[in-house]
Amino acid sequence: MVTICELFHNLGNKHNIVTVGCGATKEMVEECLETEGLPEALKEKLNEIQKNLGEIIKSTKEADKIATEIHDRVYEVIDPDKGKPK
Amino acid sequence: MPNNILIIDDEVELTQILGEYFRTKKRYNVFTASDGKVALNLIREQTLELVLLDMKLPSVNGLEILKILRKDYPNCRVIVMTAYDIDYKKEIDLVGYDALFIKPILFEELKDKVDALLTGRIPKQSEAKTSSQSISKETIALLKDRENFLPKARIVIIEIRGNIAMLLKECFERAVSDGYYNVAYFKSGSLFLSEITKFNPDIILYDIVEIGNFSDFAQRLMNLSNPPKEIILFGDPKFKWEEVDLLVRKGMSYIPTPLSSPDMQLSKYPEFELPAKETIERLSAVIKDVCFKHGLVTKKGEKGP
Repeated sequence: MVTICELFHNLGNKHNIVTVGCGATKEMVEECLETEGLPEALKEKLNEIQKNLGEIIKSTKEADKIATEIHDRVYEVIDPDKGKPK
Repeated sequence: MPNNILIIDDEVELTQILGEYFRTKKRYNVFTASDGKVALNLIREQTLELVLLDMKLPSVNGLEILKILRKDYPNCRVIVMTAYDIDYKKEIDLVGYDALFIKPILFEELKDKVDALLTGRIPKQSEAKTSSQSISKETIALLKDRENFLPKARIVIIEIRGNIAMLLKECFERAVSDGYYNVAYFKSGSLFLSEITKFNPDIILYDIVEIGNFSDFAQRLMNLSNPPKEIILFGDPKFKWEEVDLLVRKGMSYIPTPLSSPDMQLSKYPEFELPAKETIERLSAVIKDVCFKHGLVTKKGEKGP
C-alpha cells in the first residue's frame, strides 16, 4: 500500500500533468490561430478551446492549493510514512 | 544549431508532453528519461545545453544528478522541477540551479524560462556564481571589517502610493551614517522603465500591490545590459498573496511590511514609532545585507554616490 506521502506526491504529479499538458496544448492552439487564412468558424472554435484550457489550468491550480492545505493539515496529525497518528 | 535538451521526470506522461512540444520547435533536440540511471547515461553520451530535472526519481535521485551536472557539466543549464513538500530544498540551493519550478508548473512560464536560458537572456548560474565569487574575494576583507565600511547603492522603489517609498527615501537621505544611498521613487515599474534604466539602480524594491505587472517588468529589466543586482518584493502580505507566494516559491526575496497607512510620513513618526520603525528597520537591514553581498560598499569617510 502506498504511503500518505506517496499519495500526496502522486496527486501533485497528476495536477502537474494537467497544467503542463493543457498549457502545451494551449500554446499549440495559439500557433494554429496565427495561421493565415483560417475560416472564422474555426478561429472561433480554437478560441473557445483556448479559453476552456485556461479554465482547466486555473481549476487545477485551485485544486492543488486545496490539496496542499489538506496535506498540511494531515501532516500535523498523521505520521506520513507510517500512516498512523503522531 | 539546435540545442540539446534532456527532460527527466518519473511521470512518463509529462516527459512525453514536454518532449512532443519542444520537438515541434526546430531549435531543440529533445531527449527524455524517466529513470535516474537512464538520465545519467544520456548526460554522459550527449552534449546537453539544458536539463529539466525532477527531484524524485527511481534508481538515482534528482539531487545526485544535480550534483553531477554542476560538478562535471558546468556549462549545462538546469531547471529543477519539484514538488511542494520537498524536504531537501536547502541542499538543492547549496548545489545550485538556473531556475526552480514548484509543481504544478505553468507551461507558459516554463517555456519562457527555457527560451530565456538558451538564448542567453538570463546569465548562467555558474557565471553569476563566478562573478559574485570574485566580488566576494574583493569584499572578504570588507566583510571581516564590516564596521569600517558603509553600504553604497542606488535604489529604486516602486510603490503606487509612495508612502513607504517617501519614508524610506527621507530616512536614507537623512541618516547618512547608516549608508550612502541614492534613492529614486516611481509609481510604476513598467510605465517608467526608461527613467528607471537611466537611474541605473543597484537594487529595486517592488511593492506587491503592483505584482500584476511584475513579471513583464522583471523580464524587461533582465534584458538590460546592466540589470540591477537584486530585486526585492515588499508589502503587506494581505495583498495579492497568491501571486507573491508563487514568486517566493521560485526564490524571489520578499520582505513583509505589514502596515502601510496611506498617510504615513516621517514627520508623523518623529520617534519612529512602530510599525513605521519596524518597516524601515526591516527594509534597511535587508538592503544593507544586499549591499555587502554584492560589494556595494565604501570606506567610512569616503564620499558616497
